[in-house]
Amino acid sequence: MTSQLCCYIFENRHGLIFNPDSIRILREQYRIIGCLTGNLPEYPRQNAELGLPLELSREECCVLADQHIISMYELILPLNDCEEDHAKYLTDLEIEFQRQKIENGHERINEILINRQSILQRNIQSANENSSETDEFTLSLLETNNAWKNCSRSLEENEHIMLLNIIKQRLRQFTLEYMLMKLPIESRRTNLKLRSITSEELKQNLKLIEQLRCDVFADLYLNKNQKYWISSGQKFGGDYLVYFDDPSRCHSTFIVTCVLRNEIERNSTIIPLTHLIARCRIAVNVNKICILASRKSPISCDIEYLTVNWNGF
Amino acid sequence: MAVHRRQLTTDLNSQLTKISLPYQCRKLLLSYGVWNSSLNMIEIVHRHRSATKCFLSMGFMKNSKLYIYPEEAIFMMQCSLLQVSINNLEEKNAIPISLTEAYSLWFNQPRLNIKHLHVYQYLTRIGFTLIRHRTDRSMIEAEENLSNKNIKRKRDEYENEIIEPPEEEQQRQHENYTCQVHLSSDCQRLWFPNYTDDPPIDMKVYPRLLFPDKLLPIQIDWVPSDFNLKVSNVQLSIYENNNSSPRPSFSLLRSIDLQSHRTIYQRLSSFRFHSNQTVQPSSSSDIFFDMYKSKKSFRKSQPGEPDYYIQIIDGDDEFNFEKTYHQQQTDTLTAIIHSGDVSFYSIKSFDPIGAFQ
Repeated sequence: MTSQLCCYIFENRHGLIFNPDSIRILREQYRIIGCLTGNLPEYPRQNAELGLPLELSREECCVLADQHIISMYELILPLNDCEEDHAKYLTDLEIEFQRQKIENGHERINEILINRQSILQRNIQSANENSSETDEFTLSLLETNNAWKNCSRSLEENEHIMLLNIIKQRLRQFTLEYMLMKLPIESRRTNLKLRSITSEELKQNLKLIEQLRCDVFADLYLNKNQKYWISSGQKFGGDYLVYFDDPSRCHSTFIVTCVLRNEIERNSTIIPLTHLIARCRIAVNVNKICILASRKSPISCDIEYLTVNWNGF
Repeated sequence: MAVHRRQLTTDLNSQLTKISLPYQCRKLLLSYGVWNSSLNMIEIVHRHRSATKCFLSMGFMKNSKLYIYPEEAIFMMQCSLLQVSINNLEEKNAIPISLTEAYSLWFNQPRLNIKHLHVYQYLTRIGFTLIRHRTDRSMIEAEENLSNKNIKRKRDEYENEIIEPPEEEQQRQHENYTCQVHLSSDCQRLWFPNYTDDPPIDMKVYPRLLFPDKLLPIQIDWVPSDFNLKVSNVQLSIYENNNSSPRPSFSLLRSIDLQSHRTIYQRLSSFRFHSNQTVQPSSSSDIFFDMYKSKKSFRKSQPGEPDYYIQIIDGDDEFNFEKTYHQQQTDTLTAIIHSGDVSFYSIKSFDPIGAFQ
């Protein structure tokens, strides 16, 4: 079963989502935070808020693919331009140009009508100039523009001609070079080849600790009793940060660190005690709870959690 | 509380709305580029003045054409300044590469991947100038620098020309100089006086030199004697150090071999490959970018000493104390990238006794 939400996989570990609607769905419906990495369209020169694409971790990709929420793909290179795609692109460009021309036309007409008093006062000398014929495009615009239809009833003839000249002049300025070009986000080539990737393929050749991280994420995310929001915990020295609600509404409560226990030969934990103390103190200082997650047994997928608290006495 | 919750929900909604706005720009303000797959770079075919500031610090010139790196192209595309296509059939009406295609085409390589792009974008957004680390530059740049010597320079370039450093610094620069491949007309002839570009030779005509499996310590007759001392202390997999046995008469490279590229190649290719180990990159190979603070006098042809070197590490890797401790460059910022999140650390060696004296 393929989902509408497409995720492109890079280096067999990073998933990128380029569609903003998909990002919204994942955030609002599926509690997936990810990390935006690109420039924001309106303000590209800052790092406070970022834009497309959204990067998902391997663990998020695996869980979402297993739940059939996303479909994972990889682009097959090389890319080729074909004549049909080029012809279609030019046709779409022309259609978009016409659409923008109409939109721009209405905006100009409204702008001129709002400022008509000052325009008429400035241009009173050129009232007697002969006006050229009005082209079909301008006529169709004027017929569909409500502001013009309402306003023209109260205008005198010379004012009417004056404003019409200015409107025609302004509309002529909007050429193909003046249209807005959008950066295409997703490919529209008909000869584009995609290779479907499964979560098993992503989990191939993983180290023990990486496998554990995937299982811990799945365990927290698919928890039936509580809906958690999970993001990267690297800023606090852990693997995950766990929230009870959307991160835009609250701070995280837990810092989860995955620890290998039964997967290695030694029975003791591999985390030195000084590291454990450091993690615990960090968590206390930032008002969070430090949690260690590990497997119950080497063969079981059940995860056990341990909290560590520092008592300040 | 209800008002606060509504405000927070609206903030999330406004954030999601902002990312759905298109990257758009007037057609006449766009610059255009064409992807050059052999160079793995983007050739700029049309430059608009709105992107002048970017082109001053990005890419390099070759044969009067400007080429920019993939990370620079992505940044410009997301600033709505550049449109890139695969072929150059119709310069401004060619099918533009989409963001998805650009990421797949340019960042799925071992030497250039998404974490390099993240670091580049993060620092460039806040005003730093990043260029590829100097030892990482390709031959094209070296050739272009040589061919650009005859081009007239603008007046302000003369005025802003960097003053030559004092002799001591020049000597230091020579010691650290990394030899790049030059055209023979510009080759330093001090050590290779008879060096020439001879025509391609038939390898069958020239006998290949055969060496035994175990080589004894070598002596190169045309280098200083202390060099031979240093070489004799090196343990290599292809030969054993045996100080008691006499040194052989043959040399690794003889002065008579230094006639041309071909003769050197022929000499070196005679060695059999003994070890299956891959050559480990040096500690400075993690450094990918040279970072410069924003300044008007920056020239990409003569950038000068960078303010920082940027080393890029994956967040899932382990910390290598040895490599970090012996890092050559002192002003190195370590960028750690984990799932798209970038953070920078400065790790320096510290002398607890000397610090308080």
